[in-house]
Amino acid sequence: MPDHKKSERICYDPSARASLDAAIGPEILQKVLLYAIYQSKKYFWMTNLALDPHDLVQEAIALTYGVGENGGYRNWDPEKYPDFAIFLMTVIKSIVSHKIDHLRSFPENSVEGHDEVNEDFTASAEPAAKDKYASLSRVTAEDRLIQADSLSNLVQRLESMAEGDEEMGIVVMCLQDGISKPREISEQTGYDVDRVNNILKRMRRKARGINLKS
Amino acid sequence: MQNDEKLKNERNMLFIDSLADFLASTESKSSEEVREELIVEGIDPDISTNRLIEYAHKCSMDAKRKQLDHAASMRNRVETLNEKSAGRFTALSKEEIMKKMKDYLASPVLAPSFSYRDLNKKSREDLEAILEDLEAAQSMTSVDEGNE
Repeated sequence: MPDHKKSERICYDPSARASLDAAIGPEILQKVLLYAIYQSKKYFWMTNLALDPHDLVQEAIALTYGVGENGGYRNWDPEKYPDFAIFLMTVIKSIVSHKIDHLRSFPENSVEGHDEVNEDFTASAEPAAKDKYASLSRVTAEDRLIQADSLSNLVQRLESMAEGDEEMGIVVMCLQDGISKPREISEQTGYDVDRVNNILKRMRRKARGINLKS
Repeated sequence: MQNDEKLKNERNMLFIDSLADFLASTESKSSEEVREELIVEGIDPDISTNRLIEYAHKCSMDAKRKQLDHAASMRNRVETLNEKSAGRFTALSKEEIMKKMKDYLASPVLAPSFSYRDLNKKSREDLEAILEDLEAAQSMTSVDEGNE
């Protein structure tokens, strides 16, 4: 195999199986599951639809073993991701982002004109196909505006977690700038990591309340 | 105006994305703390972990089966190619076989395994067998490159 193909492998590397078997263990899976819980929440916040975090972890595992749906795979490169948990998290994040992007951009890919009234060409279709079509085409341009509006409302509610808590307010500002790792937040704010972790605990408690209100 | 909305939307998405990552952060967390977080989220860490380990084991078995199936299909393809090339060169003289082999030996993939051998010392029959192998190997390489 030419060198450029070795570095940019474009097919699944079956020799990875043994390293995966050795890497997967309870501690890693629990960290990954916790990550998947918050990715599911993100999905719910953005789409109002539910995702089971266990399903997300399973999908990521299947992809890393090269047995994902429709032949899907992800090659784990231990040099790039020495921590296997981090690798699985990136896989989960990309699965969720893909699902969100798909739902949010669907009107652009839709076969329907946005303001056109179409003849019901599914009238003679099988019920299962009809249901699928109905669920896929439920997002209209109007829905999209509502979506953007509700996203703003959600962000306002999430940002309001920091009301009356100056430290949390500063962390929220970091998050607005896309800084999300406690160590980076610590560098940015000058708070030590323990202090950032305490803020994290408070935010988790508050976010649980927000989740219930959604 | 539309751009402002788009920018606002992107900022909102970035915030939610960062918030989810921050809330899920396990940096400098002990495994006991991670377990506690799972329990607070209504998940039994042991039941969930066992379920996921079982699933990973199933995936590993599926991957192994897939690997074995792939190896079997490769073997079949090599056998088919060998059958096709068997006897194709019986009418050629030793010199003609040597000439054909030189073409294959120009290939960077196939040359290394043959270049060290003194082909002149081989019998005509041995050379014929080697040429058949070279042809099969060349075909396999082409198929693999096509697949990638």
